[in-house]
Amino acid sequence: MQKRIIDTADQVRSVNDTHYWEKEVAVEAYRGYESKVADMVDYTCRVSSRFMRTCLADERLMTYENLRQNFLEPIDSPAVPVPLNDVMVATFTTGLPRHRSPP
Amino acid sequence: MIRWLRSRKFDWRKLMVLLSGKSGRPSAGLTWQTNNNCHLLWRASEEQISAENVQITPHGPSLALSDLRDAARVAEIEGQVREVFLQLRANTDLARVMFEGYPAFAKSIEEPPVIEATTKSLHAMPRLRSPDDRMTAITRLRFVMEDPTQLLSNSVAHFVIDQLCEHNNNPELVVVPGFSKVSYPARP
Repeated sequence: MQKRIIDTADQVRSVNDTHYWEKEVAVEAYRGYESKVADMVDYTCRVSSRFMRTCLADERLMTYENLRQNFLEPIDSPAVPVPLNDVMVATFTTGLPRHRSPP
Repeated sequence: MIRWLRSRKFDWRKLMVLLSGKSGRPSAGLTWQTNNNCHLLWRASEEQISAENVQITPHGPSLALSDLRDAARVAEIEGQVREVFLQLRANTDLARVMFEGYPAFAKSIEEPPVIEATTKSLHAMPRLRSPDDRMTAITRLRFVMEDPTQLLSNSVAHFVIDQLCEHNNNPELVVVPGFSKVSYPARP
């Protein structure tokens, strides 16, 4: 499961750029925001992969407390400057695909 | 969707709507409050549509997009939809004449609660007071997972629908929580 998340994040990052959001997704409501959407997606993938790799390297970190403190709701964290809770709100609001990786 | 609904020039007060088939989890979206399509219709109609004329029928007829290419299939489904709606309507009308004088059922559109400083739990999805209302936005994420009756899209749908309707359906004017006022690190 954890490995699948990392692989999926890598696949998403490999196609995630402004061109992809402008030409492939081409949703009217994203017009003008494609670069920022790509930044958000890239950030989410990078932070998620790093968190999973850290947990896989030391499975004692595989706790809900660690998940909340260092991923979902970190406070003043240079490694995770935008809490993933905020990212989830943003992705639900913008209707970004959550369960499918881009082709 | 708001643009399309408004372009049809419906007589909203008479319009009959069946939200038919499964939407989201099998337990979700079965009431006005938990199915954001109701809120969408309410706001798109400028609050004219009658709640009584919107029925949610998870076991009702459903159609696939490919059905729309076949006129005979469309006519068949339309017949099924009208039959279900009118059967429901007939029961309602019959109850009113059979039991006249007894207290009536009134389908109401209730104002959602808001989170206060002392709030520990809520009976319904709280309303986002502004795009900066982070506590409510994240509480709504919790709600859509914790309450099996909620559609996952309910976490933000009501807020987005309200924002679009208040800004002439222009997405550029909608402030997106977690996005519009947030700086994400640039891609390497």
